[in-house]
Amino acid sequence: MRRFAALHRVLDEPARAGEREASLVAYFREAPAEDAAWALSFLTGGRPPRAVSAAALEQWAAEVADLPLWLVEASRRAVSDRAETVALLVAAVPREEREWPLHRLVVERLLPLAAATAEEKRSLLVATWRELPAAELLTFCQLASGTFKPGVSIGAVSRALAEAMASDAGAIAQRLAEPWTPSAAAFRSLSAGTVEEGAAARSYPFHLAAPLAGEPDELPGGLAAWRAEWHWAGARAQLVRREAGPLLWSRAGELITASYPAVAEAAEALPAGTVLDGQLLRWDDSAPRAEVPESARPSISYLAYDLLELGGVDLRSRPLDERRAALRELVASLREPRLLLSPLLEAASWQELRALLPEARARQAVGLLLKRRDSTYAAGREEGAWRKWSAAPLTVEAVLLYAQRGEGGRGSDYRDYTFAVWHEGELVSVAKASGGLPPREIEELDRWVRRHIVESFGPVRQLVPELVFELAFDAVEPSGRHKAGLVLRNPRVLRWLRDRAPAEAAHLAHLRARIPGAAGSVDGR
Amino acid sequence: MFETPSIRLRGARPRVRDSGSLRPEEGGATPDLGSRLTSKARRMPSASAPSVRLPRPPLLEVTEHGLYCAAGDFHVDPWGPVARAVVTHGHADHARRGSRAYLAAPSGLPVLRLRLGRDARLEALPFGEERRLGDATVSLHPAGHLLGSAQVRIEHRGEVWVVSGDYKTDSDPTCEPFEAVPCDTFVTESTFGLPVFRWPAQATVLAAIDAWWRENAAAGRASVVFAYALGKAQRLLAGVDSSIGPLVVHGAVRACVDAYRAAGRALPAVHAATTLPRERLVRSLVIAPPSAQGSPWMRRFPGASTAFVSGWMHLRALRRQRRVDRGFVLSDHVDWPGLLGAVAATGAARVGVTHGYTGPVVRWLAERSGLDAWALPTRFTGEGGVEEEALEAEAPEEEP
Repeated sequence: MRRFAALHRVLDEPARAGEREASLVAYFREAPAEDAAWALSFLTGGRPPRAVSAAALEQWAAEVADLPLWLVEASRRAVSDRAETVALLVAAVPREEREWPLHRLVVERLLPLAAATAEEKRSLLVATWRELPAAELLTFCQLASGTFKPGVSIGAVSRALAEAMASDAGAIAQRLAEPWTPSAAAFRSLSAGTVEEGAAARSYPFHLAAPLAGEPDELPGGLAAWRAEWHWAGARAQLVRREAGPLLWSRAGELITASYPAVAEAAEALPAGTVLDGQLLRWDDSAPRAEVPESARPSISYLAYDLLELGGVDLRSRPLDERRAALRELVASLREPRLLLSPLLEAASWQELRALLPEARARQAVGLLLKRRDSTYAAGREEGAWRKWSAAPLTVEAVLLYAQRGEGGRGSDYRDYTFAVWHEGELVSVAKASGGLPPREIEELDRWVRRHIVESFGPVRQLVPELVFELAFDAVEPSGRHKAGLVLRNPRVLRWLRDRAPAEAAHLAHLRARIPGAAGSVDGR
Repeated sequence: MFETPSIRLRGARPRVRDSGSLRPEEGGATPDLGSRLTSKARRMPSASAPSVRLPRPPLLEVTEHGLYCAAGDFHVDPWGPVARAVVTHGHADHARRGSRAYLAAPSGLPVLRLRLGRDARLEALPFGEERRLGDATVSLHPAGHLLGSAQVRIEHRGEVWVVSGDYKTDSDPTCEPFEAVPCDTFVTESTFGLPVFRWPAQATVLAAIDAWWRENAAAGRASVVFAYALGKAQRLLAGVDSSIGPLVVHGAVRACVDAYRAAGRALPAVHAATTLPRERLVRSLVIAPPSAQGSPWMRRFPGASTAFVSGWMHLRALRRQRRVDRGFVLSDHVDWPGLLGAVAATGAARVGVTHGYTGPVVRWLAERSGLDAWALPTRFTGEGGVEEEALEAEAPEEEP
């Protein structure tokens, strides 16, 4: 646990470039396999079930540290994290520290916690608090209360493990995508991926679209040389189906298959040796979705718009029209409601296409994509082959409610902002955005922030709700994780509205109405 | 539950009790301070106390310029210009420019000179020595916060108040150790007045800094530490293992190092970033004020590893927010057990709480210790760290 807690601290907090990777590699080299197995599981999202509620954790910590609950609460407000507050408070308890190997801590303490009665939970926790060295308490409290965050991507873990074991990262990532139970044997087998296996899992480098500068009339070849389709707002992914099970790769190079089980299941129907490019979208007609519980929501579909490999043959150097024809045929033969074809938009003129732009939002698209009919699927952002024609952004007038110091510059300006709109007489946060204002206004706002702090929560400053800003955003999405029940996609600060009173800011209903489901149209995530 | 830290308890009361004619130690002629009454002071209720003895006015009150003692007609750490200021230490939230006369501990004078300007009238009052100010008797006692930092003991008609200023009970080779002064009323700071703040052993933290520095030096990258230029920087210089590599300081730190030396404190040799060749620079420990982070000054240390040294580094959110490679927990303020131990050691029945988490400390002292505790407003509210740092930026930063 000592080694794992130290590793987690490096991963969880800012570190020198390369230090994270080096720490991961060193950990996997040095840790015994039975411990490394659990570390690998925790770092790749396999966290143990929440064994103890944060409130109970706090209650017992108060008892053990002999502190009144009000003081624990005051402490939590300063620390801004429950598990950490508890870890810091119980560190004061007289202790008999001992070395706990990670796997034993998990098997003997963490796993029994989940099944224990309240009284047993208390005694297990208290015993562990007294035995763990102070530096390990935070990681333990996070694991016990289900608030552990790996602080590292699965891709990075796979790469580090591959380096430590001289095996293949792609193969490891693929094996990690399958359910597995942590054990020394499982760890050894997982980390022994071969290069051949890795190659079979790999996606292609994504072809990226460049923004359309100026008017489409100036594009070479005229409309006849181009295809148009919606530029969907969902998550882009390549769907790889080779000998093994289907894999979904994000643009960031992460294996995201496990997050989209329904799509993965549908993709079993693809013939081996197929690679698609497309977008993950939530097709949904039941509106408004904010009120539909997560479990009851229809799951996500894959909207394919390109075919990169078929029958094991790399098609990327073929012209788009040819790839597209093969894709249409392939998708049509599947009849899978979760594997769909992104439709082409037929238009007789650029003007007709332009007229479609205002519809984009309602269709959960951010604009149009223009693709040259003869274009190949090159790696990266080949100049001119694909163009993004973006619709005008949506806007909202919102009140500045919180600020936090931002990155870069002198490092101490308040430049990360949280904005809120009205709902039933209260302000609810709907968006976070950084900077976006001219440097002079950022400085002015920084000075204003320093004089208008109401309260501090860790690094976050709550402010007097006085200033109104205009924000731009690409879409509104329903969200069960946010208090407002929705989240703005890609919000940015447009301007400081100095003449607006906070009471004139927008209401939540204004944003709700912009959730595409609410308009009864196509929707995605 | 909490172990009480060891605190040197003053055995005796200050040496002189009766003298109203204590001579100033330095600075020569001190005019009759009583004649320097401000219009504000005239409104103070000291003269209005009738023969009925019962409700005595408090010895110290919060006025628009901060803590004011009507009996002695002086302010403690005033935040605006006043006639007579008794200053606990040279941090910018305690020593403000513009007052007509300042009284402080001798070892703190060079730093105060730096902060208050060439023309400020500074006068030294050695630790433990009494001085008559108006009807009050004032003495200074080490607070252990930084060199020359003082607690202010005020006695008037048999009643004793002590104002702690900022203080710590941890050992620190660069300053006089904290001394618990028995009193009726203790005014304590509470920057870290919550039970989550318990400092790790200083030796462990210094060893961790050394280990990080050694590792960086071996890998050929400079180790840049951000720390408050006054106090923390000198404590670091004295505490790290200077055999690992050269010690480099930013101009703002350099000025305070010189002030410490002028006060007779030995510190290891320091270099300016401009005077060291590159191959030595990459093995060095660089100490700079927090405001240097992200500034062009940092371009001298490409590829450097960075760290922040402060009590605030005890909290994960603040370590993450700092965006440095390491956060080391080393504070010049008392932690929770230190604070409670210090309050108990004074034997005070009344405790005024200021500068920090006043609410929780007041409630704890009232509920658990049965003390008459109350909160004193501070001008510099919020977390001391942030404000201290904002004010730190007012200090000279560029290299001379």
